[in-house]
Amino acid sequence: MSDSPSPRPTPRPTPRSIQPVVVPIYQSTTYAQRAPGEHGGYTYSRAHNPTVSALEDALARVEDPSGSLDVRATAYGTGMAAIATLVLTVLGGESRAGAGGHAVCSEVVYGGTVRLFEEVLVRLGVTVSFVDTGDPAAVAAAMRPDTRLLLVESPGNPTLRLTDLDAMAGIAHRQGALLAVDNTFLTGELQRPFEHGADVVVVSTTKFVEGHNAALGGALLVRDPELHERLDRVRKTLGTIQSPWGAWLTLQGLKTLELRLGRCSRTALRVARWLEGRPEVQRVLYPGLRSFPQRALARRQGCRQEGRGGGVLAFEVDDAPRFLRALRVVRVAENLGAVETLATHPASMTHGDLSPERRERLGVSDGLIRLSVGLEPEPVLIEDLERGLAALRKILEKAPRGEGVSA
Amino acid sequence: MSAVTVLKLGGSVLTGGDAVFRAVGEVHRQLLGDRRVVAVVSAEWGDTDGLERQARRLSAAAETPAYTALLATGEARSAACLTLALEACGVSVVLLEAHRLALRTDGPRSEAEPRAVGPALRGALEERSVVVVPGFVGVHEDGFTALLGRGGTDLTAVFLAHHLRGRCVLLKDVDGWFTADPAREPGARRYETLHWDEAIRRQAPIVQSRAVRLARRLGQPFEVAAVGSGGGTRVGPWPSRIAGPRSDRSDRSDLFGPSRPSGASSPSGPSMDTRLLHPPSVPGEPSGASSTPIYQTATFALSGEPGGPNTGDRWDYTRSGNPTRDVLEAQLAALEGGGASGKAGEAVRALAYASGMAALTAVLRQVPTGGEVVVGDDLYGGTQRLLRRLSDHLGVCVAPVDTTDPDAVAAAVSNATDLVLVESPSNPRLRVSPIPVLAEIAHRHGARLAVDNSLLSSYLMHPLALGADFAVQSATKLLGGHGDLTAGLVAVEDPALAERLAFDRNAEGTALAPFESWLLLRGLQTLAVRLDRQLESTRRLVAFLRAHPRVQRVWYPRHGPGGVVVSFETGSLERSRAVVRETRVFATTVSFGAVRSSISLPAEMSHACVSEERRARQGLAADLVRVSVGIEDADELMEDLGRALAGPPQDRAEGHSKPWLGRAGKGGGAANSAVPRAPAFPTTTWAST
Repeated sequence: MSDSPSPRPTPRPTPRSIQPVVVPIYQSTTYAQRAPGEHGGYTYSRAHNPTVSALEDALARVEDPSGSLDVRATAYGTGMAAIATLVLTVLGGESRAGAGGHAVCSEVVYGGTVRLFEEVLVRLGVTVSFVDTGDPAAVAAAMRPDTRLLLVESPGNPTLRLTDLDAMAGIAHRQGALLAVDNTFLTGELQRPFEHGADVVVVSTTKFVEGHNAALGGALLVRDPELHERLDRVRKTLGTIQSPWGAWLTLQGLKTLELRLGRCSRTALRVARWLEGRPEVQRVLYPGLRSFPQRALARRQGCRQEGRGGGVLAFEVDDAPRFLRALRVVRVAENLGAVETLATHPASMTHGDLSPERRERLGVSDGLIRLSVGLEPEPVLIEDLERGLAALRKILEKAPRGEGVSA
Repeated sequence: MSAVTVLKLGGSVLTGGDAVFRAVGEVHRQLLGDRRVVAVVSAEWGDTDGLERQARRLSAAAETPAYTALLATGEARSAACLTLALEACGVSVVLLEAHRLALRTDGPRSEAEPRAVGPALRGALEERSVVVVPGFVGVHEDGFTALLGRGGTDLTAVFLAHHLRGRCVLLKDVDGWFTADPAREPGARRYETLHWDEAIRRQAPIVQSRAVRLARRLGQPFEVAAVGSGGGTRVGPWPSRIAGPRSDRSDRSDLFGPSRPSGASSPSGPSMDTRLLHPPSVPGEPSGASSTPIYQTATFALSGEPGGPNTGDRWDYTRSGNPTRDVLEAQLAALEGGGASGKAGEAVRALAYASGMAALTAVLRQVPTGGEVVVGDDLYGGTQRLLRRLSDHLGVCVAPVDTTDPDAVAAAVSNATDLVLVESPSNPRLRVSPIPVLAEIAHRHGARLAVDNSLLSSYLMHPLALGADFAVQSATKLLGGHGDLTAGLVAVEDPALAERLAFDRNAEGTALAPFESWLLLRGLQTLAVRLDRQLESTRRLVAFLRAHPRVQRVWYPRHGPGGVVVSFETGSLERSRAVVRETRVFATTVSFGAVRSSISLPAEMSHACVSEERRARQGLAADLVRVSVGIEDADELMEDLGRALAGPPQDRAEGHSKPWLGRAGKGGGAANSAVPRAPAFPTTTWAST
C-alpha cells in the first residue's frame, strides 16, 4: 500500500461543489490514483478514510473546542483496539530483542484492559503493575526505570474511583513516561485531561460518544504530532482503524453528546441520592454525592457539581441477581452511556475474569451493581428501581415473627 | 426492629363518638404483618380553631410559649384519648407526650420546621407495638413548645416516617387523592400514584404542600387513604397515574400503554419518553439486541409449501412489510396515540412512507377524480405544487382558504368537499388553525380532515385526538432530527382508512426503506431531550426577535407549544438576504427541526415553486426569513443572529462557505463539532487548517 507520509490527507476537490450537511459514508475500500503515488491523499481505507477523518476532527474538537491545544485523533474499531494500538506503539523494547517495557495502570479499570495486559501483551514481554491510582504515593512507588506508560481511568470502572490527574502527570513525566487517561465515562464534555497534563486521551466511543448502542469504536487523542504519526502508522499496520459505517454512526451520535450527557448526569445524581435513602441499599458510589469517599478530589476535578458527575453510578445490595431480575424498564446488559438506562453486574459481567479475591480488594463485591443512567424520566427510573428493591424486601420480610399483639 | 408504619390520624377521623374506636380498628389493621405502628394524631375536628379563638380573646401574641402551649392541648387530648381506647382494647401501647417525643424544631414558633427526634421514640418501639404521639407539636431549643403550622400533623408523620425508615400513611376522610373533590364532582377520578411535583401544584390540596415539600426533600413517599381503605393514593417520585379498572400491572405492555399527560413539558408524558427509548422487539427475534436489527433484505423465505397456503408468514417482500419498519410504525402509532383524549393507543395505525410528500400523496389519493379539497392558504411550497398537479391533471378543485378563520372555512366547505387539508402551525408563518372546529365543520359535510403536523410533530400535538382523520408528518424534520433521512408518515384511527392506505402503499411501493426506518427509530430516542432544549432556545430567540429594532414582524404561535421554527420580516429583501448569508451558526438550508440550526428565505427556497403573485396573495413576503432552532447554545444563536441583523453586508469572494463555529451548552463542550468545519466538501473539511 502507498505509504504516503501525510497523516492528514486532503481529498481531491470535485469540479462541482457538493455540500452535504451530513458527512457521506465513504463505504469504499480503495481510491483511484491518477498515476502510482498521485492521489488526493486517500489510498486504502485501512490507512485513512474520509468519513473516519471527519470523525477524528470532530472528536478532537470535543477535547479542544478552541483548537488552541492542537489535538489530533485517530479512530479505531473498538476501545480495546485503541488501547492495544497505544500500548503496542508506546511500549516494547528499543531493540528487537529487548524486553517489552513496563506500564503502570489503574487497578480499578475495565476488565478487558486487565485481560489485554495479563493474557495477550504479557506474551510479548510487556509487564504491568496495577495500582490504586487514587493514591499518588503508590503510583510513584510502582514506577520503574523502564516504565513508559501510566494508564489511568478516572472515574474508574466500576467503583468510580477517582485519580488526581495533575499528580499523575507529574509522576509520569518525572519518569519520562507518557500519561494516558481513559476519559470514556466523562468525555471531553465534562473532563479535559489535556488541561491536566495528559499526553494521550483514550475514549471508547462505543459508550457516551455514539450513545445509541449502535456502533463499537475507540479513539486516541494526542497533542504531540510525532506521537500521532507513530500511532497512525501502527494503526495502519495492525489494521485497527474504525470502519466508515461505524465512524458515520459515531459522528451522528456525537451531535447530541452534550445534550445527552448533561441530562444523564443530572438524573444520575438524583437517582443516586434516592438510592442512598433506601434501607435495602448498602452503599452508593457517585462523585456528586456528599458521601463519596474522595469528595475533596471530586470537587477539585469538577465532578461534584450538578450535571458534571457523569451518567454512571454504582450501588450495593444483598442479592444483585434478584434485584436485577425484577427490573422491567432498566435493561440488564453490557455497555454503558446509551440513551437507555443499563444495569450491569460487574462481578459476573465486566469484571468476571478477575479472581474473587482481586474483585473483593477493589470493592467489586458480588452485590455491586453498575448503573448507566439513560434519558428515561427520573420518576420512571425510580419506579423501576423500586421494583428491584421490593423484590429484595420480600426476602427480608420472611424473617421470623416477633411479639405481635399482646394482652 | 421490625418494620414500622407511621399512621397519621387526621382530625376528621377522630371526631365523633365512635370515631376513636374506628381509629383503634385501623391501628390494629396496621399491626398485622408484624409491623409496629406509630400513631400520630391531630386534635379533634374544630378543637384547634376553638383554642385559637380562646387565645385571641386573651392576647394578641402568637409566638409566645404560652400561646403554643395552649394550642398544643388539642393534640395532647386526642393522643391521650386514643391511647386509652387502645389500652381498653388490649393493644400493647404507650403514649409519648410532646416533651418526651422531643421533636426538635426551629424557626417561627407557630410555623416551625422539624429537625430531629429524641431517642425515646425508638426506645418505646422496642417495648410496645404501638406508640401514640401528638402531631403538630414540637419543642424548640429553649425547651418551650412549638407548633408546626397548618397541616403540621402531616409534617410530623412524614418526618417520623423518614426518621424510622418506615411507611407513612395519612388517614383522611377521602380514600386517596382525587382529580377533583369527589363529594362535589361525581366524575372525579382517584390517583393510584401521584408525583410529588404534581401534588405540590394542586389547588385545594388534600395534603398541605408544605408537608409534600418536606416529603420530597427527605425522599419519603407516603400514602393517602381513608379508614378501611380499598385503594388510596401513593405519593412519591413515581409518575402520576389514574387508578383504572385494571390495577394489576404484571404484564409488560402496560408500561407502554397510552399514557395520561402528567403535567410534564410534553402532553405525551414520561411514559411516552420511556417508550421512545425502548422500542419493542421484533417478534421472534432471539438475540435481545438493544438496537433494532436492520432487516436490509428484499425478501423473506416462506415456510409454507410452494403452491400451498402461506398463512402464518408475516413477511414476504419488503415493499409490503418489513420487521424494522414494523417496529418503527409501532413507535409512531404509540406516539400519535398518546393524546389527552384517552383514546386507546392501540387503535392508532401509523404508516411510514419514503418522504413527507409520499405521505401527503397517499392522503390526497383518497380524493376522487373531479373531487374537491379545501386547503389552508399558508402551505409548504411542495404541497402546493402537488395540489396544482391534482387540479391540473385530475380535475380536482382546490380551494384555498384562511383556515385560522372558522367562518371562512364554514363558508368554503360544502357537501361537495371531500377533504380539508391544513398545516397547523402553517409553513412559514406559523399560523395556528382551530383543529377541533375544522374537524366538526368537515364532518358535518361528510368530508375528512387531514392535518399536516410537521412543524410540531406528534410529540407536541395529536391531531387525531383533536378530531382529525389523517395526521400527516414529514418525519424528515423533528422526528428524525439529525438531518440524515427523508421520511413521512400518516396516522389514522379508522380501520377502514388504515386498510385503504396500506393497500395503496403496497400497490404503489412508497413504503419507507429498512435503513431509513432504523435511522428514524434512532432519532426518536432523543426526540424528547432534543425538543426540550430546542423549545427553550426558541422561546428565548422569539423574545429576542420581538424586541429587536431591525425586525419588523415576527411570526410565532402565541398559544400552544409553538415549535422550533420562527419567521420574521426585516422590511428589506436586501437585508434579509444579508442576514441569511451572514449568520455562521445557522446553516443555510431548506428543511427544519434538526439538531443543527438553519436559516432560509422561503420565497427563494422552499416556496420558490409558488408563483410570485400567488405568494403575494398568500401574504408571504419576499423578505420573510425562516429560522429553525437546533440544540446549540441559545446565547450563541442569539449572538449570531444579532450580529447578522446588525452588520452591513460584507463582500465575500466565494459562495456559501460558512465556517462552523457553534458550541452547545454552558459546559463549553462542542456538541456540534460533528459537523465539519466548512460545509464545502471535500476540500478543507478534514485537513489541517
